[in-house]
Amino acid sequence: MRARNIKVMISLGLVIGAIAVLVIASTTRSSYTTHYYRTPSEFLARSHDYVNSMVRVNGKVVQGSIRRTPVSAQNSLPVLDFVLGDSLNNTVPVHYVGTTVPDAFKEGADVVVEGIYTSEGVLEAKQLLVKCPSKYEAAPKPSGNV
Amino acid sequence: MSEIGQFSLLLAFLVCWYTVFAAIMGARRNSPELIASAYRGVWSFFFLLTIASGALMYLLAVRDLNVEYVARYTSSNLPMFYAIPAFWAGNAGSLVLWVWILSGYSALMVWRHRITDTPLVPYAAAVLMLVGSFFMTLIIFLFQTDASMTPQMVRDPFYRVMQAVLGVSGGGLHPTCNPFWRLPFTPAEGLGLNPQLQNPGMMFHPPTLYLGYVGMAIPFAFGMAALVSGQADNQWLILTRRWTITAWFFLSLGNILGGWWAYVTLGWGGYWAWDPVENAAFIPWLLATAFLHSVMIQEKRGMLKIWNMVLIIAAFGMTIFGTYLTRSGIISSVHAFARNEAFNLAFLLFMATSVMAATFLLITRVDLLKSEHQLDSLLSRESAFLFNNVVFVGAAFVVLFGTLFPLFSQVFRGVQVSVGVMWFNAILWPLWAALLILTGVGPLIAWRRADAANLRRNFLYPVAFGLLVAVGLALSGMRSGYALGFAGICAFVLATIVQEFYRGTKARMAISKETIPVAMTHLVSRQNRRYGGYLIHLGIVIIAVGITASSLFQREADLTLRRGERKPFQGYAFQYLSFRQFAEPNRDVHAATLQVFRHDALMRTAEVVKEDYYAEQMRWTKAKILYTLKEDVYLTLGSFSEDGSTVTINVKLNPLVSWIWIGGAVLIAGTVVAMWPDKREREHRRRTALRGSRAERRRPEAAARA
Repeated sequence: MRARNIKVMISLGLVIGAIAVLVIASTTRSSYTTHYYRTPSEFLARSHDYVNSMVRVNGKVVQGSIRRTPVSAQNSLPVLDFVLGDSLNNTVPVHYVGTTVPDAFKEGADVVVEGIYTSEGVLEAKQLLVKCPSKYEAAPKPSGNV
Repeated sequence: MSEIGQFSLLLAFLVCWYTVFAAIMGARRNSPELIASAYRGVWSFFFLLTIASGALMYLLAVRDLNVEYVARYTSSNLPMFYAIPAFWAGNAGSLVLWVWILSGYSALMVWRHRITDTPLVPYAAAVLMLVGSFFMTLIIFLFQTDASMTPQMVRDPFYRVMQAVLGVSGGGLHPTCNPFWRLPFTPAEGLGLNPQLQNPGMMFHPPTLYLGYVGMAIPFAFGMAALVSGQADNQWLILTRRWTITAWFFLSLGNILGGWWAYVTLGWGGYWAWDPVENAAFIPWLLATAFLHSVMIQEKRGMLKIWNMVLIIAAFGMTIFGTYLTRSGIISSVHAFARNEAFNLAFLLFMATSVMAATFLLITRVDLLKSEHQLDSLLSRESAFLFNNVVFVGAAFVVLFGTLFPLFSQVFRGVQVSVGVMWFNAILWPLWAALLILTGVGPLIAWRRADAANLRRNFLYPVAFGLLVAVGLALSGMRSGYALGFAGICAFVLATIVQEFYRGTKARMAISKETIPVAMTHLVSRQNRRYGGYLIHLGIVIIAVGITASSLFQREADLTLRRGERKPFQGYAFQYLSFRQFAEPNRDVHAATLQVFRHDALMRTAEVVKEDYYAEQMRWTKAKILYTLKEDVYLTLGSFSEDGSTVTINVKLNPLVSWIWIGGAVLIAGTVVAMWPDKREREHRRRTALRGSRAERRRPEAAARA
């Protein structure tokens, strides 16, 4: 009786151990995780740690930096280049190939760029998101006491 | 009208607290009068919240823009069909919906068990009202100081008094989540409803999910009642079985509808993105599913009693946490916004207090929960269920961990790190495989100890069938290991279910000489819990097939087309015909018409659109989906030139996605079968009712009052 209970306990322990191993292994794989940065300045301060891994950087599209290359004989997909900047005037160049540019993407827009940071210092974007002034809740008011 | 709503809320708050005390005192002193009064309190609470909710609906319907909530989530040109669901578009309305549903469940629960003679019911009512009182407190008393207002601008008499008493300085008092708050001025136009929410899904998805979330409060309340009253036998499980399945039904439906909604409206071609808000609905589902299974072990074998208490506390905690996650925006997501420290603090405090109180209660009463049996063997139904539970809870932990990871990393490493879809898939696919195998094994393996003969009798054919399917698919060219593994497992589970139906039907036909359909109907109706369960499992298998195929074999292309041009893709061809731009009452529409050919035969003429919403100042891309059972053609308008001479169309081919919705329908149908009151249960209820009325005869005064 006892012995069988122990067998069950050991098996359950193995299952839990396996789940834990899976979690740890996946979390330490850099391609499974994305690092967020609130501004290009924050990102650039640690950018050497992130060459060739997924990062996500928030910023503003710098005025006059958007360059679009339309579809042609050489490239089957449109190319979008722009510069991501912040209030401290630190900037990261962004390169994006593809058509899924958000509807609200434009100069001065608040965007989130998710992509791979290359050794040339360019952010190869995989995904562009535009932060829209949300309609779910109005902008936070200066909070007071309860 | 807003005054009626506000007054009802205030009254409901008082009634709520009265009921808590009346129910606890009534149960402690065994006083039928007090208990009956508490029950009437529960019904009044429901009545008052119904009035408040009706008032809010009225305000939204007439677009009374002087009411802040109405101005924030509607506009005068918003269609009526979406004006009413704006009820749950924001925090304040969502919280009202939450308590309204809680009060409805509580009223029904008390009504159903009003003559069940047990202290569990009044204690459970007290727990439910305590939960309700928290949400009422948030709605009524949570406020912030609004610097843009002067104290004189506060017109509501209640808040005027509150402001005077608290001596708020630096502006006017402004309740944080009260939907009846009136602005000091009337805006010319409302902000409108997010276009993402302007979809029929908005009508059904959030209320369904809330019905699931809040429904878990009932088994939790009964579990707590069992601990408080010391009557910790199986009665609380028997009384709450149907409530738990009801909550599970709505949670399942909510998750399926959520996936469908995302697929149809969000336009990225998928149905699940491991978004924090999706996870918030999924974690309680995982825990509720674990609970539904483990209570069977307690009912049949008197084991896992402590575990069941832990599970229901965790499941309830996660429903509150899910509500919090969706409403607070603590982790940025397409759904969740609003940062408000007081709101966050109040929620976290409530979660911590309720889980800690429940755990404390459990620890002090743990001696009441002695297991009646020991596990006999690793190969037994008991241990299959135990493994099922460990994997379900493990999966819930994984999803929770992944959801909160950005917070952890922010705190410990100073960088917000999020885990992506790949992270979830890498960890969870093996767990899903294990759960699917257990879906086949659990219902068939023998209780206590399975011997070789039992295993052979139940699993020989299904295992053979599973292997056959996997080998067959491999031979026909399928190379993905995941796909082959899941196909084999699904075939195995399917075979176990078919085998059960076959055996049951054959046995009935042999005994009562019935025809096949009659025998099968009787089989299901006589043992609806068991066969409803099989139907649910069948639904899960179908969903698993759809998810596996659509995650592994999606194909995608961006096609840039000049007007009249036609381009092929994967056996399909897409021709761009014409372009038009027109105005709807609340938006501009840009639409490109395409012809879709399959193997050179015209399949459909379809229109893909982008829409510009006026009030919301947002552009929205809508997906056009051509559904077939084999694969969906999922079309979105990527971009277009202003004159419409060229457009870029994004095409996705999503195999077997329709089967996810079909499987969902089977699962829902199976749940309805399992929920249906069966004969034995009606018998049991009549007996308890008789006992109850006898008890009332002994206490004529109480009967007269009840």
